[in-house]
Formats: sequence, C-alpha cells, structure tokens
Amino acid sequence: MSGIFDRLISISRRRSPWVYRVNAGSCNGCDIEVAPCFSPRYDGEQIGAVLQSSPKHADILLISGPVTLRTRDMVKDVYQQIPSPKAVIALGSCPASGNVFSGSPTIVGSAEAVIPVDLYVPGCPPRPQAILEAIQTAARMLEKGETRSQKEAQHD
Amino acid sequence: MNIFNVLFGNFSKPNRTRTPKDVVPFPADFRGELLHDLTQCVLCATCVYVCSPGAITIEKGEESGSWEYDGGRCTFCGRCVEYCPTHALSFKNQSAPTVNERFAELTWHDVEYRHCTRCGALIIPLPHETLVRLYHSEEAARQAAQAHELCERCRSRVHSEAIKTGISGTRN
Amino acid sequence: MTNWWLQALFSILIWPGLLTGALIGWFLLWVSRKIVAQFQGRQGPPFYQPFFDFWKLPGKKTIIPSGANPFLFYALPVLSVISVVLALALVPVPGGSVISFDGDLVLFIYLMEMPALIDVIAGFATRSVYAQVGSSREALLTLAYNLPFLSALIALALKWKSFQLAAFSSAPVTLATVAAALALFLALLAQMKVNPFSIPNAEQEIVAGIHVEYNGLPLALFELTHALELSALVGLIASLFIGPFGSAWIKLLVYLAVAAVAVILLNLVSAGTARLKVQHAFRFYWTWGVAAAAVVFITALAF
Repeated sequence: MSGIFDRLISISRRRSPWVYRVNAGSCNGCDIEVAPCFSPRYDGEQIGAVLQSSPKHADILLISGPVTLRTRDMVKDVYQQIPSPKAVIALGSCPASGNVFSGSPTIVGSAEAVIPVDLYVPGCPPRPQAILEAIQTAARMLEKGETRSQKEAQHD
Repeated sequence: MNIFNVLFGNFSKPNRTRTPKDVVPFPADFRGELLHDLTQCVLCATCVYVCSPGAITIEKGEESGSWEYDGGRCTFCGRCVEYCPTHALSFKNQSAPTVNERFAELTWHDVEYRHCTRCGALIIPLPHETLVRLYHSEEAARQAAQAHELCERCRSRVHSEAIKTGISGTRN
Repeated sequence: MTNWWLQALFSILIWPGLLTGALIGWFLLWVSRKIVAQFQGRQGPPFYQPFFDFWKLPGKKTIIPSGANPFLFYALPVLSVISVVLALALVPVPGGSVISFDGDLVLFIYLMEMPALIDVIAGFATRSVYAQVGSSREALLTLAYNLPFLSALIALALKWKSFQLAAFSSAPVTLATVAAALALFLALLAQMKVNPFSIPNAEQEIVAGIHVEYNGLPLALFELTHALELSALVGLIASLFIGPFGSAWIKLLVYLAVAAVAVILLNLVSAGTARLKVQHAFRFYWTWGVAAAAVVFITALAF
C-alpha cells in the first residue's frame, strides 16, 4: 500500500515542479529570461511549473548571479528553508564560476561553494526554453531521487 | 471594459504557446557553444588576451600546448571569434547542453608542436587555410608553405639571404 | 439506525463528501486555471495538475517555523479540512443528501466560516510578518463578503420559510433564486480569494500571504481545503436551480451546467481585473454587497 503512495508521490514530483527564484547578485539578465518562461509564449504551466513566492512551497531553486559576500548567507538560508527533496539549478555562467566578476574581492565565486548545485544551464543568459528544459530535467531527477540533497539524505 | 475584448480575443483564437519540444529556431548568427578547431589553432593566445572573464587559458608544455576553455565562465561576447587570426574559433548555432557537473563544461585540446626544418626549434606552422587567406591564391600559398615550416628566426634568415642573393649575386 | 449512520458516513467520506468533493474540486480548479490560461492566450496546465500538486506535498519534509506551536501547526489544517468536509456533506445534491435536518443551513454557514477563521489563526500562529498581514486582511475581508453571502441565504430562508438546505433545492426557480445566486457569486469571489479580492494571499505584496510558512502535509491540507471549498460553494449555488426538474439525471445535468457557468464567470472576472486594496474591497462589498442584499430581500419578500 505504501509502495503505491511512494510511487504516486514520486510521479507527482515530476508532474508539479514548483520553482523559487533567487537573485544572488545577478545583472538581471537571467531573471529577465526567467520571466518569459511563465509567459504565454513558453508557458511553464504546461509542464506544471509554477513560480512560487515563498521558498517553503518550492521544490526547485533557480539561482542566478555570482554569489556575493552579501547574498551568501541569504542563499544558504533560502536553500535551507526549501523542504527536501529539493533541486538547485544554476542559471548561466555566473553561479558556475563568477563569469566576468570572477576574481573580484566581493564575490564568493561559485554557488557550488555555498549550496550543492544539481544542474548548470550554460548561456549568458540562457534561453527560456533551455531553462524550462532544465526545470523538467530537475523534476525528473527529483522523481528518481538523483538530486544531491536526496543522495546526501540517503547517506545519513 | 476593453480588457474583456482582449480576453475574448485570446479565448477565440488558438493559444500562442510553444510546447517544450517545439524549439524556437536559433537565429543564423546565434552565439551558442564555442567550437575550437584543433587543426587551425596555432596557440597565438589572442583569444586569451581578449577574453574578459578569462574563460580561455593556454598552457604551453614540452611537447604540446593545451588550449582550455571553460563554458561556465564564458559570456558569449564573441570577441575571441572576432579576433582569432586563423579562424580556429567559431560559434555553433545552438546552445551548449545543460550539464550535471561543473567538470562537463570544460573543454581542452592539445595542439602538438612541430620542429623547424632548419634549426629544430618548436613551432606550430600556419595552417593551409590561413596561408590561402594571406596570399590570396592556392598556388602562392603552396609555394609559401615551405617557408612557414621554419621558425620565425630561420624564416627571416632565409628571406634576408634570398634578398641578398637577389641583389649581389651568389657569394663565393 | 446503523443504516443511517453508514449512509451518513458514506455521504461524509464519498458522495458528496471528501472523495467526490476533492475530485470535483480539483477538476474545477483545473478548469479555472485552464480558462484563465486561455483568456491570456496560454496553453494552461494538463487536467491532472491540481491532483499532482496536492500529492507532491505529503512527500516533502515539514519544517515547523521557530516560535510556532507544533500542535497548532498541524491541528489547524486538519480542523479546516474536517469542517469543509462536513459542510460539503450538507450541500443538497441531485440524489438528495442523507444528512438533512431543520436548521442545517445554520450549521452550513457556521462550517463554511471555519476555513476563513482558521486561516486567520494560522497566519498569526506561524509568527511570520507576511502571514500576519495576510491574516488581518482576511479577517477584514470576512466582515465584507459575509454581507451578501449571509443575506442571500437568510432571504431565501425567509422566502421558503425553512432553515433547511433541502427546501432551497426543491423549491421552484424564481426571481429571488437568481438574485440570491448572484449575491452568492459576489461573495464567492472573495471566498475563493480570486483576483480582485486576492488580498489575503497577494503574491506580489506579502509573499504568499497566510500560508507563507506552511509546507509539506499541512500545506497539502490547506490546498485540499481550497478545492473542497470551491466545490461546496459552487455546489451550493448550483443546488438552488435543480428544484423544478423531476428526473435525478436532468437534475445532475443542470447542477453541473450551473457549476460550470459559475466557475467560468468567476475566472472571467479574475482574469479581467487587478487586485484591489483592502479598503476598496471593503467599500465594494459594503456598497454593491448591500445593493445585492437589498435586491435579494425585495425579490424574496415581494414576489
């Protein structure tokens, strides 16, 4: 009986990815590309994605921008507020390496140093359809239990 | 009440949404994934010099030099493609794929050194395509190819000797 | 006697209670989202979306915010679901409901008040600033939208000389019924927290309003409450129109048709309007709500 419910819950994770977006010092380019994902043209709702305004309702964290010293603690805080299982998608080059800001004394450099990142979407900024595809991939990872937060939970 | 005209207009027409599979065509000059042609590269490091985020690095070793590119650090500004003298760099008309690990965004190519036919110094000769562009014809490029098998010093030596011979005749 | 209890349990849990109520509620929520999407020229979610949105949440870890009482945190959503399920069991359905007694209208009104009150308490109990703002807005809005809601039901009770919901559903359709349905629809906008009155859960202003700190299973129960509330309130409006028809099947058909019209109108209004300020919403209900109440009373008593 519980097996059926587990299956139902894991399918639901794939079907309904709720997204929370955090700007960790981005130039706003990636945030502008996130907006069309939920517009009539690309419509994230057709794959079940909804932009949530509270991290406590979210499954997937979209992080854009190099993590600066000021936003470091906030990014960590937001990540901890998302109830597990959760996935993290790094948008564009900035969370991956710092991009043009790399080497600046005011940035941490990589989101990887603060929170575990599951997917990197290349581009500066990435195209909306690439972001939607990444959300779908992350939802599929949540279904199979492949995200890093889920793997860490298994090890404990 | 104008809003209701808009709403009913939308309602009566089919929606404008693209499904995820129905990918928007990429424009012809889209700056997507950076492609590096290993056979054209001479490790001149112009791309390293113009790259603002420092995504490209070149490490010169004993036998070969390696050209390294970090896709997760690139701003896709296209300056490296613009300035590349041998046209070894180009943009693919499509974005790079989404990856699970940071490591998968890195690319590196080893470019083998060759020896100067005269003195044996390590060089990378200019590729044939660049010579064609420089000399404006296949024929001239093929003639000049031999000189470009030499290192820079030997080439100027050979050239100056050729000029001297042309002016004063063969020295005995 | 045992038979009655079994039937009552059936009507609470299966039809028109928890199970069908939830399924119909999820379906109506999907219809709402799809219609709004179509009005905006979008594709909209697939039909199973609200179902999966609900089932995902119990699988998540529940984080209890610091300073919140864990007992209250879990008990409030459960209480909210129970009260709406009981209210749903009282709604007169085409087959005729088992639990029907003189005065069940009062119980229905009381039970439908519970989710709003629990929302207010829940917002304050989580000790989040945003939730507290949402709670105070919800409390203020409760005073506003109950005016047309209560006066419509009381006017109908005056007209049919009965405080039994079954009496409403078996009465013929008159001008008073239509006026009452319109007044109930006016209240439905604020009760469902859709767009001009989405003040307590205003996403852009106060994060997610009352439910900002809720996650996991308690949030799932609140979502379920929302779905059940929609099916109960739309069902109440639809049940006013099934009186004149003899056959149970035609009754069911009319019931579903009126429910569909109500949901479509609801979403037309929600797609075509922007959010009001709380004082404007309050003024709206105390002018147009009073007007609607007056019309309902006049039609109920004069004709």
